Amino acid sequence: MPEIESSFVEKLTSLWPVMAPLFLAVVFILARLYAGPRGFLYEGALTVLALICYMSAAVILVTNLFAKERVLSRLGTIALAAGVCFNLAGWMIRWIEAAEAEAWRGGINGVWRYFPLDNLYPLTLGFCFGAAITTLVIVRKPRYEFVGALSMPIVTVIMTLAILLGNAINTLPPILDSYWRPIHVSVATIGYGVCLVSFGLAFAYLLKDGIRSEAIAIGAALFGLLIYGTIGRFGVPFHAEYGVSLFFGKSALPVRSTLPGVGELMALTLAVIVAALALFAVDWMKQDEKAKRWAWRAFRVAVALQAAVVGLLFYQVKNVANPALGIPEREFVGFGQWLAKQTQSMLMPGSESETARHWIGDNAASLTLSLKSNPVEIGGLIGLFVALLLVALFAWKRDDVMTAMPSLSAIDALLYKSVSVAFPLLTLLLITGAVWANESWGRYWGWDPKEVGALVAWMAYAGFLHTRVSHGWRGRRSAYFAMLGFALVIFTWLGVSYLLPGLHSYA
Amino acid sequence: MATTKTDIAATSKAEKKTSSKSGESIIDRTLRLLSSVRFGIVLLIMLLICCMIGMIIVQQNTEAFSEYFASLTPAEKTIYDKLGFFNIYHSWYFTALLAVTALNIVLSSIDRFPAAWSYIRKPRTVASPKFISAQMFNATKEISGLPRTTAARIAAAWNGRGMRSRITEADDHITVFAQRNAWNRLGAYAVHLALMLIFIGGFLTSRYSVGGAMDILPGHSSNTFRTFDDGSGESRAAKIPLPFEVECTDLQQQLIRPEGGLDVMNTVDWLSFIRIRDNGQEIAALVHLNTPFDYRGYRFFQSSFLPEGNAREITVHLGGRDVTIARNQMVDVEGVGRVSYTAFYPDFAFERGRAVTASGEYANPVAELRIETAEGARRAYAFNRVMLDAQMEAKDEKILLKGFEKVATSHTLTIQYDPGRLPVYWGFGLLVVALSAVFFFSHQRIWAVVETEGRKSKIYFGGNTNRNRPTFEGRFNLLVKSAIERGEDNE
Repeated sequence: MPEIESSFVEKLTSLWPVMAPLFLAVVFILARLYAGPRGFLYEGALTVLALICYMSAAVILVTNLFAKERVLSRLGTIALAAGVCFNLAGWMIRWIEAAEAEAWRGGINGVWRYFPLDNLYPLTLGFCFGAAITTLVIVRKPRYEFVGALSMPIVTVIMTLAILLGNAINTLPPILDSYWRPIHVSVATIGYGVCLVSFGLAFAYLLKDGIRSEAIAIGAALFGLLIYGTIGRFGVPFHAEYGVSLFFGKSALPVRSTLPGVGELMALTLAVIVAALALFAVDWMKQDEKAKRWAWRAFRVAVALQAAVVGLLFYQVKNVANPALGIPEREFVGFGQWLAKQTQSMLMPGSESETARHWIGDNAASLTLSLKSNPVEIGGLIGLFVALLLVALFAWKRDDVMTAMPSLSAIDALLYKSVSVAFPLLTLLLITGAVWANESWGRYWGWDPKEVGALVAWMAYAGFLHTRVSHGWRGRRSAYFAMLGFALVIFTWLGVSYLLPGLHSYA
Repeated sequence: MATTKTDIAATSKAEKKTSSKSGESIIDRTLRLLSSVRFGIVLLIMLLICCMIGMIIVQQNTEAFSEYFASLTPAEKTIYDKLGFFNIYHSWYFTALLAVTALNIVLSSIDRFPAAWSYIRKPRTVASPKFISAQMFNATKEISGLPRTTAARIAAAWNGRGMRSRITEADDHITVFAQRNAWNRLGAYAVHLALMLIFIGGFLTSRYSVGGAMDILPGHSSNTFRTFDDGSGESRAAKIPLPFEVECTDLQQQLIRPEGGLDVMNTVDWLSFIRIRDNGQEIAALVHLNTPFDYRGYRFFQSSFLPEGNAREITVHLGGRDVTIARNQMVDVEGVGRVSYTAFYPDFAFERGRAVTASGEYANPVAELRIETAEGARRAYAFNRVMLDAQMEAKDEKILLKGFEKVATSHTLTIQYDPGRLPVYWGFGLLVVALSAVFFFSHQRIWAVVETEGRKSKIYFGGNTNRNRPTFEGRFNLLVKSAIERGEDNE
């Protein structure tokens, strides 16, 4: 049967898997508004429920890739839809919770003051929602089911990172009390979400195009190097130590306490990843079958080790008795200087360590460890595990994965379609940001890191669109641009807030 | 993917361009490079790299710069400085990159425009079965009926489905050609035009915009404001004249918790009431947070405040009753005189015989009054309850300060005059419209070549689109179906 363009009514009815969870979410939100925080109707619970659903959807849809079963595909869609429902409900209920925290006082624009997009946590909730609902729209067609297998694992990692960020509701900085905030930041979340799906599609394109599994493994290994080379203030490669920042009451301090065993395990994992990388390189240059076999063995060992790293990290954070004792020597000087700055006192050079030691000694009982102290690093470690696992899985079952996906031109068309939605959204993001800045502070462009970050991601997608125009640059090069675009989106979303100072440092 | 005559022409033209021709002058070669899309992508990547450098290396006009600079090694300091990394967005090479990119966009658009325009001006209305077979979608059908009638029916069916049909008769066959959204071929050029508008606006802003700040205090007026030049990282305050006068009539601060202080996290809004005097005309205006005021091309923004506590109005117990006096206002109190409130000390202290404030916090609020009677004027103080009870000597009058509305001593308004704003906003609007038009529509074309086969008509259907191929596939099948059905209906 040739595929016929469906009528408007048909198009509308086929949207019910998307409308149903949205409708249910609205029911939950209204229930919370009128009945109060009963049962699970509070943001924390709903977000955890959403995470569970997304994780289940990811597992089911990846399994469906290898063992195509009708029941798996149905269950996967239901889990995804349920996740979308809980995600949206939790996110919007945060609006009600913020308003109640200020007794519905209202701001310059009334209750819009409490719109839930004021810092990185709700932004991330929105990001996951945007990606999940885009996936839900796409996977309605059976031949596009594979998209869920690629996007949902990423959404799960990002949702986990959100939970690690902590969901405390803070007073809104007054400058953000503008009607532009719901507009600009909503566009950001949905736009970023679509970019995530286009990343998955670009990866699918490469897979279908026959990129060697070894090339993907090299990419994952390099990601591992990036993670271990940057976390914990370079503690892993140089000292085989890893620690998380200490909490003093509710605030995180810029001093870390080493978690016993974790750093050593990380160093081991890093060594195995480097070994795998070296072996893959040998195979690449010499086509050595033996090197390839050992490379894959090392890679699989790295997957197991990385799981152990995450597990041990979580265990130690919960179980270390006296975290103040775990502070390494080299941290004291820096901490002493920081303490001096806080109390605005002058220190004799050489006495920084002493000051730090005294302060820590006096306050040891109130110093705690928490998973919320370095959310980006822990998110990165979890992300690395998922990446290594999926790469190993896809390499093992490469043929199944290839047959589960439609033709290359179908994937390409879908990739183009997703970017043709993401690109206008990113353009709108830049524009609404510029207009908001001009209406609030009198300049529409100030080369602020977050502005530049969004511009850079936009330029990468513009590059993608133009590779289609230039002959000979379609195909893989096109897909690489789409992947670069998403990497830059992640950098804008996380990196700018955590790595760089500037106007946008609150989100 | 599309292979109509114009497409083939465009493709071979492009292919001719990529192969180098001997005897081509340097100018031709440069122009060819400057108008190539591939070069444009390379330029984009170079801009991307410069922007990444600008994000990772702290720029000199940010707050955190001095701390960052101090933490660098001498080698890093020298190298980054020499390469212009501390102010990369204003460096010569970044500006040059932007200029060359703009040039590339213009030249490549000019280069490709004729081909796009020919789709609109000279549509391919005559086709052949060979041409049809080369299209991305094709189908062959046979129905009863003479070619002319069949062609008419197909055209009618397609017109009924939103296409615009045209019938052309040739020697041995009839072509029915229908298309939709031919203008979509020009979409990219509209996008580029919008980008150029934004570039122009940005250029105008960087050359001609004037911005600065004005501190305002109720009762004071000014017709100048101070400006900073932060392009080089140095701050040079200069006075810019305004063509009108700005007087501050009132200030107000809306707090979340009235018992708290004036700090930012306890504030919902800052309101600055101003009056503009321009050539005899007086205009009252309100400038508050995130709500600027426009006047004659100048925009006034509520940007900052001096967090020294003051009072917008005070309530004192005087002459046996409570009297409320606003800042810079005089109230006639029966039995006392004309009372005005002249100063406010949030943290009152007496130093060397003079009233001063020890800090900006509302720790010990006292208001200074001026009471005018027939005998003359005298100064008096209204003290808060705590201080009044603790006062030993009753040298001054015991006036109770019953309450007051907290406000800052002064506000700062940011003033912006930006001729580049309009072109940039128009560019934004056009960009959004153009992008939506580009991506949500496509130029769809369909042909039916009708030939005689005895008493039947053999129809070769072909279809082509410039984007959104999967969507068009469904539409093509639907159009073919409707053409046949219509033809069969009218048997």
